[in-house]
Amino acid sequence: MNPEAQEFLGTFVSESYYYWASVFMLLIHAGFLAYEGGASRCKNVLATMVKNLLTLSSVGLSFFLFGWWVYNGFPLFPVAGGIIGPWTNPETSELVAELKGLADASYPWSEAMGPNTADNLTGVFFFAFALFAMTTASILSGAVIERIKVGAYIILSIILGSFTWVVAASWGWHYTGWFFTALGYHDFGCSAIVHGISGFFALGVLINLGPRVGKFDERGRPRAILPHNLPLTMLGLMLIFVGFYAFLAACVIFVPGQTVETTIYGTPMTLASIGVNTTLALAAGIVGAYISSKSEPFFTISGGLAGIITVGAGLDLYHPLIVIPLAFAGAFIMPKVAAAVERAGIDDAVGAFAVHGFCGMVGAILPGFFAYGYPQAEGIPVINPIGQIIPTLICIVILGFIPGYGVSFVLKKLGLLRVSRAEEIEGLDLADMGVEGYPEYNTAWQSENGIRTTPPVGSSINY
Amino acid sequence: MSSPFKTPQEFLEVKGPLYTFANSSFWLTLFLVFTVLIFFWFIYASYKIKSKSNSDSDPAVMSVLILTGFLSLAQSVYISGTTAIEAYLQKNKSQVSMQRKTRTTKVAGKTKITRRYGARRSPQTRVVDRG
Repeated sequence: MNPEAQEFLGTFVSESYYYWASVFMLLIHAGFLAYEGGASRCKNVLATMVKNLLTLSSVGLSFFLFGWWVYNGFPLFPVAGGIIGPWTNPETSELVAELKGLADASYPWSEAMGPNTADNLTGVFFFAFALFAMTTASILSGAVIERIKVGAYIILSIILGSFTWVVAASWGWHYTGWFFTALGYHDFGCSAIVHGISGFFALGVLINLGPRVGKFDERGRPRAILPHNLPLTMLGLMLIFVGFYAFLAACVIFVPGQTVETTIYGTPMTLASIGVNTTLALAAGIVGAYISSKSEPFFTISGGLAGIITVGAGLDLYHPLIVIPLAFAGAFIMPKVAAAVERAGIDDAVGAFAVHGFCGMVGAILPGFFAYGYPQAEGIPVINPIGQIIPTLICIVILGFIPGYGVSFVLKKLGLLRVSRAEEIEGLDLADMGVEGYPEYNTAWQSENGIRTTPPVGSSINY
Repeated sequence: MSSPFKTPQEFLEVKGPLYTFANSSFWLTLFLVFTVLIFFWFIYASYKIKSKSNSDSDPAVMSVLILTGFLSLAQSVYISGTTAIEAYLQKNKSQVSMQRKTRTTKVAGKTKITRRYGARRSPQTRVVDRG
């Protein structure tokens, strides 16, 4: 093999690796589709699935239009420099020149985004990041099912999927991001960057969105609104698990010229250890939630995800013997958090806050203690508790909860957030789409035999 | 310190184990003990955790269910009998003013049975469980 072919082989390996990892990441969305569809009631199944499907479009297009640039334009802002854009002078410093090169390659009109034999990797990295973005927005999708307007969800998914989490990624999941360079933040598997932000964003939205009709009784006690197809939900989560292996594999950096696999921070790691630790986190998480929820199927299988998220930030460094107790503990607590959220009067249909928000927050803080002292690069602080806690709080509060609450509050005031009560009672499949998910069956059975979808006669409560 | 490395160079050029507590067998042993305990807890819990639907196999619960069922049956028989008697009496006492209303209350154990007679209405029976 001549040297030129050998060099291209390295490029092709890298290109193929991210390409196929991203393809498998799409299973996360197949999983979310099934998961949410199963978790909804018969009368909302199609609307729920279509809403989730639209995430691919809303985030896919907006990430192309501006999200990819945000990732490359915001790493220094506001601590170490300004926003990198067409206005930036590359002669400011070597670092700014390097970032400007990345930002220039990320505009929609960039040569690097089209077929270009001189650049095989920009496009494939865009592909991977776009799938990350869609995953982030999909987490919100499950929490708000059965009562949000499709338009409101699209707006919220764009803000979450193509802006707020991308800003967090540029600060804390970028080799020049100021979370990393100034504080030593380490979040390999995006515990706070993806999960914490989306979970808290969802919490902010849920406060304004309000519970589904009939979710709470006259005294404010929660009623169970059961998934219409729990087996479909469980199958969906299994698909999400498969996709998560790909998600975490795509967090590994291997580009031509490297002699070792690294994290996004440039620290050494191995793909094999990700396989071992993810598997054990999945196993231990399921056990934790199984025991904690007393074998409740929905929480038991969600425990696998909770386990992975709890150890995600330090997955590249933890020994498997540390992964197991941590994943177990995170998933054990998760159902209790979901119950507390419900007691607070918040209707989180799929426990998104407990699984992603809570476990993501905890998972991002844990390396500060269980990977304390790891040096990362010359001039970069070692992994430390403060360096984990402060960025995690910025993620979940400033980039998660506040935008979610604020935007949904504005939409609510404009009457653009929630469907009408009549539409909700009728079911979104018929009200919004004009078709039923199960036309051969009488979905009115729910109001007769299962969940009461209309207020009791004589009830004064305002659902 | 869970890191086995002291300098960035040492870490970035590592050829060998880089995991947390690689230099401390005590901590890894401790976590091994936790892991084994979790594993045995899992096996134990898989036998002990019962869903709510299995509670009907509890003898006490079964007894309550049988007793409740029996009381319900006895109550149905009693109500159907008294209703038939009252209907017969009403049919044969046409001289009784149809405007009169009578309320009869009987108390049997913890169950209160109330009957109302209306001028143009069939007898209605209301059962109030006072238990």
